[in-house]
Amino acid sequence: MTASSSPPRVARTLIAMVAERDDRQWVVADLDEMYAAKRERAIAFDADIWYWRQVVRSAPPLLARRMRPRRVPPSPSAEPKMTEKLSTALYYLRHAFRRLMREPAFTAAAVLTLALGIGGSVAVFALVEAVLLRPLPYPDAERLVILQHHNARAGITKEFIPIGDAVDIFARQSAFDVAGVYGMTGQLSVTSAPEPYTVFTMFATPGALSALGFRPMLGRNLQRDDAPQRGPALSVIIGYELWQERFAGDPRIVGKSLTLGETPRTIVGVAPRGFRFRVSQPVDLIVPNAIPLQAPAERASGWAHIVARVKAGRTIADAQSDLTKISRQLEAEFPRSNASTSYLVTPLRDILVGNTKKPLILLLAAVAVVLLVACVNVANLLLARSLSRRR
Amino acid sequence: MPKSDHLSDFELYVMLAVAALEGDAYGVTIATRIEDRTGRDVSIGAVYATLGRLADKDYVAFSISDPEPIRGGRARKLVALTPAGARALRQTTESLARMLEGVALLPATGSRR
Repeated sequence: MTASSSPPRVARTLIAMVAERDDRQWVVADLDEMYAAKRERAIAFDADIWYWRQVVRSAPPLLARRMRPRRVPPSPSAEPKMTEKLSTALYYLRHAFRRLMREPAFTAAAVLTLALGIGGSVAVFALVEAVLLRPLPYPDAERLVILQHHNARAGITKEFIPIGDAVDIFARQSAFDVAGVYGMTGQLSVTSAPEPYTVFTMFATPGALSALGFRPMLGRNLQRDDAPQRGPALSVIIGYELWQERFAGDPRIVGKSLTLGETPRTIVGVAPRGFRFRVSQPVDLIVPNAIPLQAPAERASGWAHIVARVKAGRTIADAQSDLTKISRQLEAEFPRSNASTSYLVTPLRDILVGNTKKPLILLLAAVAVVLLVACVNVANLLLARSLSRRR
Repeated sequence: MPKSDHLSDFELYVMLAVAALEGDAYGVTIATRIEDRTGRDVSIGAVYATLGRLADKDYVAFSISDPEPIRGGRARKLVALTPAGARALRQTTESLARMLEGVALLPATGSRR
């Protein structure tokens, strides 16, 4: 017999759990012995099946035995009321349990019905909690908004905004604490490693990072002069996951160099663990990004995604009316590029959840009804059983 | 104190197996013997639960054996009939034998109840 010929572990744990404490070791050892004998005669799969059958069929008698009524020793004083109550409760529990064991078909039907109802509700609620209820991983995340460009004539709403409009909006707005431009790409590679690897890179102006409440866990944050107006940025923040995976969590990583694409850059900081934005994938690298100081004449010569933090005390609606005002100004000043254009302020959560909110809530309502139906069914079963007893 | 001296058929099988195995009766051998002789599919849990019940009635007693003197040998929880158990077994089997006297066994019918 080889060492691998041990019985299925889950089943073995189960049988140990249901057996009485005094018998536990003996039941398990006996089953092991019989299993070993089976293994000599049959293939492992058959022996495993045999073992599982043994466990499933052993559970009811063992459990019933554990639930047997035991004589409670007469209490020496009049005091122990609590234990008396408890033992009465235990008595009823045991009684209920034994009656359920005696009617396996009824029990199976009731348990299955409830299991389906509860299981469905839990699964859908977990989904709703993750998508709608769990706070986003940024401080004061409910104040984070994404700007959207809406063209009424074309009926198009999009997140990328002509760079000229972005610069003017930043200069004129009054509803945001901070706002910045960001971008994402999974197309760049780190080429300074012996074997180049692709990374998920976020480009961000210092304003975008500060809107997200970003603080590096090591080194320093990005500053305005990290992103030159001309030429590539020479500093970079590295994601915690990449730091662990590719640099073995080197505590002296700050100041070292890394070549992204063709440009060597200095690592100035490490992002906190799990830092991510917009997608579920952690950000590997954060590269500083600059926007022009003045709006270019060709307003759509570049595109920007904008994230902003609404000032404390200002509502999303305030911010929206501010942006609507600016949209009208821009439309008047640049009729050629900005006709029928307005800017929308949308909470980050709404952007992330998108149009799944309504279906999700509907689904939740549906499983709640299923749970209700399950309860009614079980109540029916109980009723039917008690009627059949009376007859 | 036992609630009743009545033995269920499975209790009877277990006690008969214990009596027959003399000193080598433990979970595995009892289950195997009943399986071999009755064709019933015996679960180890049922054997232990029944032994527990019989011990409550003071019909069987347990002792722990020394580990077998081979590699991987283990100790066993051995079962033996108590005098009360032996007496109850004799009574039950004797009444059974008397009841069987003169009975022309009928072929088994389909219904069980």
